[in-house]
Order: sequence, then C-alpha cells, then structure tokens
Amino acid sequence: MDILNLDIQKLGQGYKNGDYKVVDVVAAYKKNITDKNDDINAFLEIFDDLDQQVERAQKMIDEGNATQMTGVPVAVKDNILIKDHISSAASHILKTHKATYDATVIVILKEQGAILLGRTNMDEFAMGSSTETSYYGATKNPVDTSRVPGGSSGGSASSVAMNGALVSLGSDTGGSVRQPASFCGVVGLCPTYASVSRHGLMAMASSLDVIGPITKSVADAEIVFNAIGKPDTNDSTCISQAIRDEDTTNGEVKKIGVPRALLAMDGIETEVLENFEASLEKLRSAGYEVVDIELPLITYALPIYYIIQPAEASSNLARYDGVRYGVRKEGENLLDTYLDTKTEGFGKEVQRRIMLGTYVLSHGYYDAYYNKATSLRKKLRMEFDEVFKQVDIVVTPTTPSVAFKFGEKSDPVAMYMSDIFTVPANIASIPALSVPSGNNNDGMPFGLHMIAPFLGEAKLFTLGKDFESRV
Amino acid sequence: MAIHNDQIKKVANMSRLRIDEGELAGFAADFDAIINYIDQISSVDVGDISSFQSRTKNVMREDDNAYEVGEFSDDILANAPDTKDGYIKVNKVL
Repeated sequence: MDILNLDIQKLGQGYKNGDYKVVDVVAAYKKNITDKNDDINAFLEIFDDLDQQVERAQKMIDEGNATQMTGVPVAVKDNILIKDHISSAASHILKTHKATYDATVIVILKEQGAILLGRTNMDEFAMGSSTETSYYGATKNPVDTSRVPGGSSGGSASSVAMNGALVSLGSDTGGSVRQPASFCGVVGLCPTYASVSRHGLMAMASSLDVIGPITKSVADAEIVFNAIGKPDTNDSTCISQAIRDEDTTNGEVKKIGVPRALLAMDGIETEVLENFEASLEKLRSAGYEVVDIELPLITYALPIYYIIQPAEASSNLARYDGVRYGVRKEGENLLDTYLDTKTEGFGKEVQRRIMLGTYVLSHGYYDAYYNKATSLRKKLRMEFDEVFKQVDIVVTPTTPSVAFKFGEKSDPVAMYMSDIFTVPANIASIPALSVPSGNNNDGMPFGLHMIAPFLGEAKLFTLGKDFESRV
Repeated sequence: MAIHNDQIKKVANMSRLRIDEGELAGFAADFDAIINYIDQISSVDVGDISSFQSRTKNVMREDDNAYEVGEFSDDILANAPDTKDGYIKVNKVL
C-alpha cells in the first residue's frame, strides 16, 4: 500500500485497522519533503515538534477518539498563526515574528490531532499570483519546475502536489487558493466568506479574505471544510450557527450556467477555452443542463477588486511598523523609524499595493474609487443572486492560462489578469471550487472553476465529485 | 490622466514609504497602468442597489470576561524589538 496515495477517508481506515501508525505516515511525508523541498521550496520550515504531535494523534486513535482529521498531515500557509512558531507572511518585516496565539482553524486542527507539518511559502503578504514575491525565494511548480506554482498560496499548492502533505491550508482573497491549485493540478476550495473563522489569519483585505483547503480530491476538501467551517466568537463576522441552520441551500445540481461575456475577454489562451468546452461536454453527457447566463458586471469584477483589495490592505498593513514585533530599522526619530522599517521591510509589490490603496482612499478619490467599487460590488452580488434562481452553479475555467514560466508576467496588470475568473466569487462573498480538468500538450494542468450561492458548498461538492470522476 | 512623480512622492509619504529618485519613474509608470485599468469602473452605472441585503453581520462583542492583567505580557514582549522594564521601547512620540 502506498501511504502517500491515500485520501483522508482511506488514511483514517488504515489507522483504525492498524495497517500503519501515524509515525509511519509522517515519516513517509517527511522523506518526500527532504527529497524534494530543497528544489521546490514549498515549505519555509518543518516544525520541530512533530514527534509530540504524532504521539498525541496515535493516542487518540488507540483510545478510539480519532476524528477524520486525526493523523492527517497538514501544511499551513505562512500567514496563519500557530502559537510559538514564526509567522512571517513570507516577508522580511515579520522575519522574527513569533505567533502569540493559535488561529481558530489551528485550534480546531490541533484538537482533532491533525499533524501540522510546517509552514508554506507564499507571495509576500498574500499579494501576488505566482509566489515570486516571497522574501524567501520562489516556489517551483512540482509538475514543471521551470514554471510558477501560482499564488499567493503557491507553497501550499506545491506541498500537496509534490506529496509533501495530504492537505494544505491557504488563504483566498482574489483566487489565491484556487489559482495555484489549478496550476499544480490539485483541488482548491474558497469557502463562503465568513464561513471559516479569520481569527489568526493575517488580514490582507478583510472583506475578501477566506481560509480554504488545498487537497488531492473534492471529498478531502469537503472533510476539511466541515472540520474548520465553524462559528467563532473570536471573529465577529463569522457566520453564526443560527444563520447556517436556517439556510436552505441544498446540494442539488441540475442546471449549470456559463457567463459567456467573461469568456470572450482578451488574454484567455485558446487551449484553456478548448479544455473548458470539453469540460462542458462532459457535464452535458453526465446529464446536467448547461446554459448561457448573463452577469453584466462580472467583467468589471477585476477592476473592482483592484480598488477594494489594495485599499483594505493598505489599512491592514499599517500595523507592520517595527514597533511591537518583527524587524525594526531604528531611525533618528519616530517618522524615520517608520519610513526606514517599512521601506526596507516590504517588497516592491507590497509597497505598490499599499500606495495604490492609499491613493484610492485619499481625499478627492475616495468617492470615485472605493465608494463606487463598494456599490458595484453589491450590484454584482445581486446579479449572482438572480442568476442562482435560474442555475445551481456557474462555471468558468479557473485561470486564463496554464502555469506560466518564471519572470513571464513582469508587468503588474498582466499578473493581475491571472485572477479574472476567480475574483468574482470573492467580490460576491460566495464560495467557489477549482477541480483539475485535464492537461495541455506540455502536461500542464487545467482547472474547472465552479461558483455556488452563499453557503452553497454542498453544491460544489456534489458537482465537483461527479466531474472529478469523469476527467 | 498620467500619474506624475510628485503624486507618487505624496502617496509614498502618506504610506510611510521612501521611494528613491531613481525608482520614481518606474513606480509612476506602473501606477499609471493600474489606475488606467481600474478607471474602467467610472463608466459603469451602479443602478438601484436599495434592495441589497448582506448575509453577514458585524456584531459588537461585549467587553466582559477580561483576562488577568499581565497574562499575555511575556509572549507579547518576547516579540518586541526593544523593551525596558516590561514596556516596549520606542522613539519619542512628542
């Protein structure tokens, strides 16, 4: 039996049967990490307390207290706090920062005896679509190491694709879980906004950020989501149990909608469109009704995003000033300390987005940019709500191209266009899933992107599992 | 509308960032391209959004259940670049 090729369910069954122990499973993953990580650079650190975690998980299994997540090897993105471990958001400015508390998702995973293997590389402060902006060097795509793994959760996606973890947690603000998952040929889920607690996730854009799992199968993504998607009084936006209980969205999928206007935009590779049409054919053959739908504002989701996200990020990153934690560059006075610390501590893309955010929020521009974007955002959500009265799921390709080569997208706007299909879900606060949908002639993975209504994850899992079995 | 170097300097200052003279033009050009891109929204009509209902709610959490003073101090101070007598040491503010 190949320990590294089991899904969460089979892994748990093997633990129960005594086919292997947690120490064996973790050893197998650790060996893979040792063999591959120097090259791939998916992990920034492997934690030094694995033995204790293994012992605790084995005890839970032996005493019959195991849950589905017990003994599951998990890699965690470097912007999710794990107490007493460095959490740096792949930045220079937080190089020395040790988390003083566990994120809620970490509390949950620890309670269930999941094995937290280490922290994964990312674009600095989650700003990017290629993991090229990490202060600690880029991560390579395990499918083709001359190409990017995507971003910002590139380390997370690579860790699963290279078999360095069975599950990885990433964060998704505009596509940062789904796009790298698609680039690396694995599954990525962006849950409904506020369905998973953000307590302990370093905030990038507070109205857009979501923590999501990257896994090898849709069933695994569902298991992780069910574990971590819980109410939390430490996150005041986190959806209450009452609201979850009274929501009537079911897992039925009969009709699928395609927003043709979005597919007609410039910059989408022909092979992506061909793969997408092939996916639609598979869905039709499986008995789903596939129709064209209109979402007039969907083609504006990306510019809306690149107003709201930098604005909120510029506010959220103001706290990184060298005063209370992280790297401080002492100046002659307080202002110089701020200027020196931030200039030296933040990379170029982060500086660009902070300035962009400051600009769109500044006097004279606030109304035209941030206020307008916020209003348009509500409109797009209303358009989605209308569309979901006619269809159960909206599908698009996950990305406009397969994983590109390092350095290929040096122009910021070209890089931002990577998110054209993923961003609408974040803008509308609704869930979306990327499932591998085949490879191109170079063996590079494509992804099919499914968008569901608010709290409609069950629909994603239904369609996702069915599509997965037909690829 | 072209973004001028002066505007970059102003925004950089507000952001508490120093941009070298040599880098100004590069930032201005990037900025220009991005602003041009996001300017698309100016031509879009918002229409009627009066019926919009958010499904998420922001709640005010009561300040009860206070922790013991000092309970987390050691953890927090351990991260501070410079401390003295249980305080974080910083430049003069006034």
